[in-house]
Amino acid sequence: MTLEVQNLTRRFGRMLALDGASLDAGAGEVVALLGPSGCGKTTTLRIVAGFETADSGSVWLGGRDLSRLPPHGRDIGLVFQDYALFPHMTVADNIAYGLRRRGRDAAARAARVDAMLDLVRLSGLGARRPAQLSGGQQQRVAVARALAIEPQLLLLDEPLSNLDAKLRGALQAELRGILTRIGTTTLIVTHDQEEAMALADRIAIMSQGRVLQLGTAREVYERPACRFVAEFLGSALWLEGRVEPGGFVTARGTALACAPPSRIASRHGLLVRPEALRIGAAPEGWNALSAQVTGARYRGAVTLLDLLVDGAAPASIELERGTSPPPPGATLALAAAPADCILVPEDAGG
Amino acid sequence: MRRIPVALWLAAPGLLLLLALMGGPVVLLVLESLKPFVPGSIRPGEGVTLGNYTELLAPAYLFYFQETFRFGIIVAGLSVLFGAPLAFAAVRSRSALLRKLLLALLVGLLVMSLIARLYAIEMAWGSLGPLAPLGALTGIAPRSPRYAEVQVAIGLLHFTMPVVALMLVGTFRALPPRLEEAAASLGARRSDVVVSVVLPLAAPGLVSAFLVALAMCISNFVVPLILGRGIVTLATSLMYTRFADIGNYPSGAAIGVVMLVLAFAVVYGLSALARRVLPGARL
Repeated sequence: MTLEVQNLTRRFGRMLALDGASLDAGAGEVVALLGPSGCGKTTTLRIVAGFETADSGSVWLGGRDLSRLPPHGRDIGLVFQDYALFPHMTVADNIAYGLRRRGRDAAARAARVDAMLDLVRLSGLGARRPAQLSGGQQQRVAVARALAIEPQLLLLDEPLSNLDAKLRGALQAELRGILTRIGTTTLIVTHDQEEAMALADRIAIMSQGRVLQLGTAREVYERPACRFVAEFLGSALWLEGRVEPGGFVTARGTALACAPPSRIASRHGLLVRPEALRIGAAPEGWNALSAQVTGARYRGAVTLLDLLVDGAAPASIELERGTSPPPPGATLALAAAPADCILVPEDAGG
Repeated sequence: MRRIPVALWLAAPGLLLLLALMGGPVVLLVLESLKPFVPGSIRPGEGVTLGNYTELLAPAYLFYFQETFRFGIIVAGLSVLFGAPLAFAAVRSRSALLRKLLLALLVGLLVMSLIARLYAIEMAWGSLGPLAPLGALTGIAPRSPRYAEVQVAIGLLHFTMPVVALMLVGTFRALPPRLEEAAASLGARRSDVVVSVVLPLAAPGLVSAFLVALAMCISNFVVPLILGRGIVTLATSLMYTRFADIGNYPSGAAIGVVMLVLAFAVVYGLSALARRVLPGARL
C-alpha cells in the first residue's frame, strides 16, 4: 500500500506543530521520519494513526482517504515507544488481540500467533506475561502484535530508543530483517539518525513542522537540501560566503572550487564533510583552507581534533591513529577535493 | 542493653497518637460491652458478661445488621456503577471543558453539607417531590411507607458517589492512555477498549472504591435519621438509641463491636473474592 501524507497542518494553542508536512512511501517501502524533538514527527504519526486530527491536509493509504476514519477502522499496525503491551494478558493474548477483533476463529488465531512468535523468534513464550519479558523481548512482542493483523501500514514510534546501546544494534538488524521479509509499508519515527539509516529505505528530515527533504540515506547525507539537513545529519563544516562563477568565496575571502549549485536559492553555503578534509598542503587542483586548533577530545577508538576553519567555522576531524594532537592555537593547513565541496542552499525551498 | 532503632523513635509520636487517640476509645468500647447493664443507671454493674452479645442474636436484631449490609452493598455497587463512567469521562473526555466541569461537580458535591443535600433529596425525591415518579421506577410507590428505603438509598448514594468517583479519577489517570490507543489501533471500538483493557486494569481501583463506599454506608447515621422516616432504621440508628435514648452503654458498645467485626469480615471476604476472580490484578 502506498502512503501519501499531504500538507498537514496542526496547531496546538499558539504552537504550530505541523506547518504543511508532506511525505510519501511506496508499497513495501520503509520510510523514516527523522528530526529533533518537537519537530512534529510524533504529531504526524499520531495523525496517520488517527489519534489526532489535522487542521488541514490529508492522509491517503492505498488510494483511500483516512482522514475521516476512526483509529480502529484504519488497519494500521502501531508499535509504541514504550510498547504498550496489555499487562493483564499473556503474550499470546496480546498478539491475538487484533485477530479477535477481526472475528478470526480460535484455530486461525492460534496459528497466526505461532507464526508471529516464530517471526520475532519468541516461540514458546506465548504463555508469559509482558512483565516477565526483557525489554528487547517486549519490543518484539509489540512488533508481532502489530503485524499479526496484517496491517496495510506499520507505524513504529522510536522503536529502539528504550533499549540499551548493545541490544539496540542487534535488534536493529533483526527489525530490518523482519521488515524486509513481511514487505509492509512502514513509517518509522525516530530522532536517531543511525537508526533511520539502518532501518529505512528513504529518510524524511523534519524540522519545525515541515519535511525538509525526503530521500535515500545517501541522498540526504551527500546532497542535503538545505543547511538544517546538512548540519543535522552527521557532522558538517559549514562555510558562509557567496557563490561566484566557477566556485565559492568565503566570508573571509578564500576562493574555493566546487560544482555549480543544483538549485537556485537566495543564499548558499559550502558544505564539507569532516571526513573529506585532509591535514596538509593541498595537492594540485584541491581547495586549501587554513584552520586553528581549539582542542582535542580523546574518544577511545578515535581522537577528535576541534578546529576553527577559515577563521569562523567550527569543525571536528578525526586524527589518524598514533599522531599526537597539535597544541591549541596551532595553525593547520587543510585540503579538500572540489568534488567534496558542495553548495547547499541556506534555507529549504518553499 | 539493646539500642532502640532510630526508626522506632521516629515512629513513636505517630504510634502514640494512634494508640491513644484512635485505639484507646475502641479498647474502652470493647471493655464496656462486656459489662452488665443496670436498668435506670448510667453506671454499669460489676463483673463480666457476654449477655450484651447474646441478645443481639435475636431475629429482631439480626434484621438490623442484615438491612445495614443490604443497603451498604446495593448503594456501594450503584455508586461504582454510576461513579466509574463519570470518573472515566472526567479523565478521558476529549473536551477539556467537560473534564473540568465534571471534576468541579464532584468536588462541589463533596464539599456541600450532607444535611443540606439530604433535605434537598427529601424535597426532590420525596412523595410530593418532582422526581418521585422516577423513584417509583424502583417498583415502590412514593406513597407507600417503604418508599423511605428508596430515599435512604438515594441519600447514601449522594454521600458515597462523589468520593467513589474522585477515587476512580485517580485510578483511571494512572492507566497509560497508550494502552487504549494500542487497542484502538488493533481494531477495538471504544466500548470494546473499555471492556477489554480499561476495566480489567482498573479492577483493583474499582474494588477499593466499592469497599470504601460500603464502609461509608454502613457507618452512616444521618441519612437514615433524616430520610428513613423511622421506617428505615439501620445498625447505626440502633446504636444511637442504645447510647442516647436508653442509656444502655454496654449494649450500644456491643453493637458497635459487632459492626466493627462484621465490617472487617465483609471487607476481607470481598477482597479475597476479588483476588480469586481477578487473578491478574494486583489487589
